[in-house]
Amino acid sequence: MADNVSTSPEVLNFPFEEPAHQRETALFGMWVFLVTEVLFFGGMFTAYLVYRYSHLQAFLEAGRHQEWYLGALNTAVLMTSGFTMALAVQAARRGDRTWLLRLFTMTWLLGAAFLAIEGYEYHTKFVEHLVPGNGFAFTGSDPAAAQLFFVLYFTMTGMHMFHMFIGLMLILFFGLWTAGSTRPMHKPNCFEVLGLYWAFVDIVWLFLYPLFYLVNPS
Amino acid sequence: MNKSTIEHLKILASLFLLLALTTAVAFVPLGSWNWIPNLVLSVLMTGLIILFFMRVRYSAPLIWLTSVAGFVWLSLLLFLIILDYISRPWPQ
Repeated sequence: MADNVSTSPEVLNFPFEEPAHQRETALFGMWVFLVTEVLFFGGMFTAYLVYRYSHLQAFLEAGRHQEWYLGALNTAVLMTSGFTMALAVQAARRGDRTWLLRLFTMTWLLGAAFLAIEGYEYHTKFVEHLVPGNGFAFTGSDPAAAQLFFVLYFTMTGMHMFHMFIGLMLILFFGLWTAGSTRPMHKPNCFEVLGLYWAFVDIVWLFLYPLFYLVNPS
Repeated sequence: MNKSTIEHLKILASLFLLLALTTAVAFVPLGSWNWIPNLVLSVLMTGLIILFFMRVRYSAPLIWLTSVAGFVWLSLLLFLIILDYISRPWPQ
């Protein structure tokens, strides 16, 4: 077990002379990246706002076709994964390799479950002809505007899923690296930065959930 | 369990509670205005995640400031754009 709890100090990279400075710089860098991500998703949220304002009735009709319970389930799954990821970061901080790997595994499985549920939902959209394009079939007051709702739905959840996929790849990479070497345990900032990314992806979903699943639930 | 784990558990429980609340609110007949309580609850959940899961509560002021900056710019973007749409007649 001694091998699994590292007590050696953190590796210091040039030009840092103390771990606190190195850590703050790493966290600051990640937060700056996350600010660009907020604005990247923000553009799509702006499009949603404008189209919803312009075509409210069509959005309410289109929202009827969303399964709110799948969205709620996915939100719960993602929140739990955010919790296990936050604990994983704490484990990395105190040098507890055993728990870090356990919590990484849990986070990864929850993230994969999220993607599976979302994949099932996409499947139902194909079956119901609610995918924008030539096969789109929607009976309502304004099918063209309803199509916009689904364009936004697929674009925004799709972009979110892409971020989830990158997160899962990073967890896999850092998990395998940690399983095979003690070196990453001396670089706790790597895990903290990954934890910030994962929490951010959670946050994006917290807004997608009410905007796409709770528009007009039945 | 150490203190930090208990704190994380409390936050997760609060998040679940807020999720149940936001889902329940969506079924209250408010016309098309459910989005307001829904978004308020989303902002609350985001606050919990940023402060505790992302440790901003325990981070340096620089991190605190950066974490707020993106959302400030985004709210300016949303506010100014919707101001334009609601302040002039929109062709139907």
